[in-house]
Amino acid sequence: MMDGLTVDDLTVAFGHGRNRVVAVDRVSLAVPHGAALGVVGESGSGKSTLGRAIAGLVTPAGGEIRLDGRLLPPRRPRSDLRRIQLAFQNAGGSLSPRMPVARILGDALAAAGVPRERRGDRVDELLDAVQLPTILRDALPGRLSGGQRQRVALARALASEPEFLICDEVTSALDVSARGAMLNLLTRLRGRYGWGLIFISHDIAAVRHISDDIAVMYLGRTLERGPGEAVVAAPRHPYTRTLVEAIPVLGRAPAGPPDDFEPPDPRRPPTGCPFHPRCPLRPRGEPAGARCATDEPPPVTRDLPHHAACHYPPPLEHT
Amino acid sequence: MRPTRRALLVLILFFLALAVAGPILAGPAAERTDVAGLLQGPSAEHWLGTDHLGRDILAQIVVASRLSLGSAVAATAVAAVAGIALGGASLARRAGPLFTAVLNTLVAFPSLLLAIFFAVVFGVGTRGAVLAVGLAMAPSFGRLTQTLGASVMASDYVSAARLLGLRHSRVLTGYVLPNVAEPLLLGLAFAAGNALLVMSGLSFLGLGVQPPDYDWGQLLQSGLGQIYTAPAAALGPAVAIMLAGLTFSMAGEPAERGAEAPARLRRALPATARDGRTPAVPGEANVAEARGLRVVFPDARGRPVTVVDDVELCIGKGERVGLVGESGSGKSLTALALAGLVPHPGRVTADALSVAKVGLLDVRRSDRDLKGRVAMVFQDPARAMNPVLRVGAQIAEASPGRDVVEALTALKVASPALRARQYPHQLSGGTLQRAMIAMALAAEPDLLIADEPTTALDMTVQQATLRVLRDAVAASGSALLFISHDIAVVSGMCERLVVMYAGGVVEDLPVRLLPGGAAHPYTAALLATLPSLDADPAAPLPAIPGSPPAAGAAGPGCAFAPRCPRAAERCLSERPPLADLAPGHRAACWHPLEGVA
Repeated sequence: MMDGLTVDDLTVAFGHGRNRVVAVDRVSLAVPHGAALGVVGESGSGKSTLGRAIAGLVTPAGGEIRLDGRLLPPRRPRSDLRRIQLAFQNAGGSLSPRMPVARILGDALAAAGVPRERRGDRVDELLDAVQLPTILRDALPGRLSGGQRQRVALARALASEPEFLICDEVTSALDVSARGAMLNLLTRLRGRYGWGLIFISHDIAAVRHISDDIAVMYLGRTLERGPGEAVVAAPRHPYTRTLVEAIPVLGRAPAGPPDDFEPPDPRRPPTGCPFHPRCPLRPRGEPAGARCATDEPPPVTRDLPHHAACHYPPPLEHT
Repeated sequence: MRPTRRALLVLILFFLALAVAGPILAGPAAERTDVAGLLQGPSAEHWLGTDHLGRDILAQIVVASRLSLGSAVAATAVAAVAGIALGGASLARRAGPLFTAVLNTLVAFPSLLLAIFFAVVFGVGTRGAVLAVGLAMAPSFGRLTQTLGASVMASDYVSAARLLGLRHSRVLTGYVLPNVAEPLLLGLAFAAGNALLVMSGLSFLGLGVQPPDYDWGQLLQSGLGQIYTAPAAALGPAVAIMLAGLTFSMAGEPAERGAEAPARLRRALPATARDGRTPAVPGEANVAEARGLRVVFPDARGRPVTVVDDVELCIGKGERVGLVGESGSGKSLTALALAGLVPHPGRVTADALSVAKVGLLDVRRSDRDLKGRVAMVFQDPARAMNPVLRVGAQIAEASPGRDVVEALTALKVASPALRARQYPHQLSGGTLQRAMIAMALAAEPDLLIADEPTTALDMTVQQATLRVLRDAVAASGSALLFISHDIAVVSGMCERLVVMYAGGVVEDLPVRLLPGGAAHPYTAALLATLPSLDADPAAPLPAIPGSPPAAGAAGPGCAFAPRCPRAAERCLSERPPLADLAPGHRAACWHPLEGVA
């Protein structure tokens, strides 16, 4: 039996016929209890859909999601929903605009079976845990700053005493000065409550800071997965390298090719490796990289410690 | 309160009083028959005349108000209960599709036909008419509930509630209904007006209220016979129906609608020189110059809030200046003031404000003076472009006579001829932003203002777009004001960095002094929070404690003092001026850091 959360060949599709989009394509991953997996990708990579599918908000078209070895059915029962919580990118949108903070948290506590008379104290404890002053109990979400709303959303997730927390771009709407504080808070809460964490973001630096493992997604597929340090320092997939090199560096003029490219149509993804039309390695390898356009590299499994879905991965560095 | 709202309140109170007290006060007069004066026209004794039994018509209208208004409200209540139940059921998890189909079928029937059908089914009379009208209106209510509910169901807060493991019924009643209640209530008021008309119509046709009871519709019917001899007998009830219907409809009008819409179309008043000072002469060397720039917006209660305070910003010819700050720092409004685009009801004042030698404080200036001198690129190109015009046509419009394909080629747009023929929605975000830049630079402006031009783009697209922007600006010789929240991006694009905090400039320094040479603790803190791939994951990330003050809420001292590690007594009481530290380097700080450039 595998401990923690395991996902095998998870596939999520929307639409029918010509408009069918496979948002998540045969993704496999594992998050042991207390561990953190970072999921990196650009818009349209399917990372948010992956998070929602694991949380049980989207019914997958195929694949399996298991919690401690037990299969979670595609239509998830309420008792299982609570065990995996999701923090949304737009925290303001994830809080009902007409509910004051105390009721938002009180509802979550009620759903978790906390008796009414103990809820008041628990609300204060939750606010304290996310470092919010208790005077905000009666505030409506509209009155709070972005960082405060995100903390209320975290406190609500906390109320369910989940085993796993999925954070979907929780820092991208925040100002730089609030972003660091949010990541520090997440790290602290994870240590305190022993959550397994899936941290979804386009910000590689934030993902690297908080995650043990990193998975890189592109067009619904995992292109690379491995220990965070290794994925960032020695990427095995050319796409990962492109992402790392795109991080703006202080004092460095924007480098790299200035060329424009059309992003692929998700309804008709490229054949073979989905990244091949943009791949900087294309000229290398076999005759004009013909294989990349026709053969799909074997998908990233959850067994190998560091794996890239590339026909021409660089040799592993041994340090 | 706006005058229409006040009039509405008076009308509501009037009809409420009429319905409650009317029958008590006017009852005896309406019952009294006068065989001597049958079917009389208006007189001093009977203002609207008498009916065929000699009863006073005005008194009858007053008495009938309770039944007319009451049955309209009752019918609306029936419609609301049945409609909301049906609409709610169509949102249910399993049975939803079935109820949706039922609803779709019912909505297809015209409601007046449905009302007449039901009136016959339920039997002629007041109760039958109320039920008939109520049920006839229920489908449209169901549809309204369903539409509003479905959009709320798709929201993240409902997803979050589901994840808590709440029952579906609890999600519907606790999360969906409260958030659709307001538009539903407005819809109800509107529908009550409709119900009044339909109820009166049924009574008029003899299908509604039956004698000896009477409502306005019936009074209208009995008065109609003498419309040529005594029109007041028919006009009285007609006016009552109209006025009451109008009141219901007005109550269904969203209170704030209309107050907002025209404001967006209006521009702020022209910028004015600050009181008692003469506008400075625009500097010769500078492309843009702002001194003592202040932008004031009224808050929700109409009190003025200073969102840009005493900003000084000069941009030399061909210079690339970066403007950095967090949301609410006033960086975008500063740029809009330079372009003369601060939206209504903002007020712009300054000691000096000029762009491309056009004095924006000059009352005689027109918008045309700035045409071609200043261009702007916004964060979201999809919203900045006209969606119904081809991309090429829009670029051509910005600078007639220039080759559009060439302009796109200069921005390294792939297949430029094809892109020029396409509409904005057919282009990817990155390509569209390139087209936007091409359009902005086509007129060879003196100053290009780029407000977070790559923030909405993917990171790999951002780098390439920044690179072409930089190259294109260098080739055109335009000056660049580049606005961003990301100090790293700005440092790669610009020679000079201007840092704003809470509406004011806190530091102005050459980019080459970064990172060690920053003098203001806020700039230093921003630099420290930059994401790094080399940082130790075990150590906490640097963060700035607290949050910026709300607009206009900063104290008398330095706005950053409450969050500043170097703050002392003086920082809290006295605002530091933007002072020279070295040539080209200024900071507004009493205790600047010693630079280690």
